[in-house]
Amino acid sequence: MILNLIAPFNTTEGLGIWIAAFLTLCIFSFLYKDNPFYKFAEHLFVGVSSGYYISIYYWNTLKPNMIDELTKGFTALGKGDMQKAFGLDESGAVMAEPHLRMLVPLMLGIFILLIFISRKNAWLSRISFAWYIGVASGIAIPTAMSTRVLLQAQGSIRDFCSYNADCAVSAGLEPQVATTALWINAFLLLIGTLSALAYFFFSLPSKGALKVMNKVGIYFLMISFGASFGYTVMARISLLIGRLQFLFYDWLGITIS
Amino acid sequence: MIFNFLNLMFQIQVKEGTGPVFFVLVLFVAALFFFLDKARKGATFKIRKIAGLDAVNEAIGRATEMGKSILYTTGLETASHIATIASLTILSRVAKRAARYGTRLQVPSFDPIVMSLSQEIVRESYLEEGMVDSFKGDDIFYLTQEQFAYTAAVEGVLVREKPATVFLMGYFYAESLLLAETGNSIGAIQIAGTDAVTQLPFFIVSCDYTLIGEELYAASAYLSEDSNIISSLKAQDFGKALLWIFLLLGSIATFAGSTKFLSLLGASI
Repeated sequence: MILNLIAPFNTTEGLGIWIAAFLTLCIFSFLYKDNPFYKFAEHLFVGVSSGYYISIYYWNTLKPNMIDELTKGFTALGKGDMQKAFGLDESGAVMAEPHLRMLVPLMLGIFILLIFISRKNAWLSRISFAWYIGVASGIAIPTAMSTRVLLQAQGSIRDFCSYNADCAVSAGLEPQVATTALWINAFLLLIGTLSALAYFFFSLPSKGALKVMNKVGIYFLMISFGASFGYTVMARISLLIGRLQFLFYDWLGITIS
Repeated sequence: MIFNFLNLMFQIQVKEGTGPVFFVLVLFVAALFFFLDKARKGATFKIRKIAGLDAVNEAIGRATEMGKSILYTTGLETASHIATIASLTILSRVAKRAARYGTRLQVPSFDPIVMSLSQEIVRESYLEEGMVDSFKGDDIFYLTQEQFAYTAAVEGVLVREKPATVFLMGYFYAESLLLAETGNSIGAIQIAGTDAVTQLPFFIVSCDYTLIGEELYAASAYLSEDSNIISSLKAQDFGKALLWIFLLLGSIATFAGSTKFLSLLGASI
């Protein structure tokens, strides 16, 4: 182990390393207990990140999607081109650029702000929230149904077809040579899926065959959680290693040769 | 005309490869209306016990007895996420209880829209309980949309305010264990609920009760004890039972060499 020089303080990069190392240690100090150093790092982190996101939202969302569009729309309106002002081409078809159509989302946004500006008119915010939740649910539910239900169901029964050459060819799947282990795996997956699904039947009393299935289901769930726990803990350890590497290598200049 | 419209819609859906999704959703909505109608005619539905949800009232009562606050977080997703929507409905129930008992409820938010929604939901709950004067808008506050800055700030609130009860409901990422462990270290009773499969193990080891996936979605209906709302749970179970039968028959048929079940799902790939 060779001890090199600590990161230089007088260069921009060195100063950055020192600040990052100080803040890292401030955050680590929480392991002992809450203290002024942690509070300082916490408030700085929250403040800087909020400022950063405000900037991101302004430049990536508000300016291109709202300010620029409205500017273009009002410019077109000033020139008397009503169709272009509202984002319509000569034939009246809707163009990709919305221009003054952005007044609708602007209005919905203002409705939300009324909560903080005028309690009397705050009820208007409900229109915005209703629209937002309605659209969001409309997008989220079919996606969840497709990815979390149908594709999972397909994945659960696909193996049975893949291991059967005739079935695989007619279904357009890649035929696989099935070994005993793969068959056991496919059946275990099926039993696990069915029993875990049965665990989530809420309106049926847990007795008889359902009780047995519930028990098997919860065992499968716990085994999968255990595996997931171990896997994720290893990923977190690698995050810690990354931070320690930064402190030892970049800041303190300790290298192993 | 309506039929033509539906026909066109179905064709569009199938063309885009989401025909099965459309079909399943129509089936589910039909089941929902069927059970809702039954509930309105006086039918009552029984739900099996869910320990994590039974503990909600106990947890709120504990905070009241200790004279401490409740901390509720809706996770790190936007209002378009199903887990966040489920969490907001549970927040409404928790806020009502908190208002009734006069217990302080703090909701640190990750997303500004979710914060505004939370504020309105909590205000409405206080209003329904006739306690609108006790409502403090500042207790439902926005922090930041940076994952670990939010985590650091919530941890700060946890160790300084020392709430007696912590609810971690919604979608979480790598911060789940940090939040739950800090809550555990201050001795708070913790109830977590998420559909983030990779984070569930962390909640299970560090929280008193954990709602696993579907249990989070069922929470609102379960806590409401209202037959009309519980009927939605019955419809969900109906959908799950159909899926269960489909999986079993599909596996047997596919094992025997049939491709019919796979092709039924094929359009959703």
